[in-house]
Amino acid sequence: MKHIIKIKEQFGTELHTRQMIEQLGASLNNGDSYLLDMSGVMQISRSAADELYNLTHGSQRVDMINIEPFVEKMLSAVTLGRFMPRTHTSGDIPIIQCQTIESVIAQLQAN
Amino acid sequence: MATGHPHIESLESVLSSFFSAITTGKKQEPDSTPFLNAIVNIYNRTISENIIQFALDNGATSEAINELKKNLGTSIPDGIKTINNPLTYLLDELICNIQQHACTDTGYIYSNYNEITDSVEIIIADLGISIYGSYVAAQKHLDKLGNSDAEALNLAQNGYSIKNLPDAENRGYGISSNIKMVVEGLHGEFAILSGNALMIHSANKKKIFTLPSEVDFKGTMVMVIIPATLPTDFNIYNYTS
Repeated sequence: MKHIIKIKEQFGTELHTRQMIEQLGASLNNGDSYLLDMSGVMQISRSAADELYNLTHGSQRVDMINIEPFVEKMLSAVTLGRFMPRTHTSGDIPIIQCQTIESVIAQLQAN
Repeated sequence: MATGHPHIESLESVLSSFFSAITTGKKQEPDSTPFLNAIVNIYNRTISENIIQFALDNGATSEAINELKKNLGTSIPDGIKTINNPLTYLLDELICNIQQHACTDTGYIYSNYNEITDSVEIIIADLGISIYGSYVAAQKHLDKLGNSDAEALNLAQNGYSIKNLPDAENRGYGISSNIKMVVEGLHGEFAILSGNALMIHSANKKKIFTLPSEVDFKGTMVMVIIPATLPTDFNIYNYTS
């Protein structure tokens, strides 16, 4: 069965967080296919775009249509980023990956 | 800087309390301060009355900056005169960044004079497209950006401009010159939360974090602590030219 989901109606004109997309993914039925109508969604965060990549490249059949220009650029950037080697050489500060809030606090308090 | 307060000694302490607050979901930490409350409120998109919300047209922006300076002027014992120039430079540059790059029509500023530490606490924030999104919208440095808000912060603090200017003019002034002025010139502390990345920069700390996925701020929040009294050797022209 094919479904069209109007994202603007469900989430508004801005997709703020990864969790919004995770919730969307969790609401989809395995075996069905989905078209996400992105018309009117004007802004998206990097993390929400990254999660949309996961959703549209995962086990469920999910595609997007009517993508607005900025959202299109953001999706292209996160897709490009996934295929780039993970070397951080552009800035002069090493990037610390924190998996938990506790590790962020520990790093903040460490010298 | 900023010692002697029973709970809040530095920006890193404030940020530790902030992360603790958003983990527990509490509206207020037991040792909460106005500065910490303002950070938590902006993060939660709850704009309390001590946060100035303003439209990003030039008239409203000037009004907001003047209101902030007026508020500070009445609470700092010696008035705002000595820090007026660096404060104006800081606010102008960072608000200009929001106007030009954040793709939003509203900005937020907050200030507080902390009499215990004799310092000024400032927040300049927007709920726009984040620093990563600004590079993406401008299609700048995509080859270096990866899929990382933290890498975008690293580019911004290192002077990689979002503007389409010739390389010679590509100074990335908004953030990088302000960090230098705050940390080196004013002996203050500077932090940015954008997307799910955090940068903190002080005399003894220079770190960028990719935060856990539950921390996700769609927008950019700059947090600054500067002394209310200027260091004697401070010269603003070292940072503006």
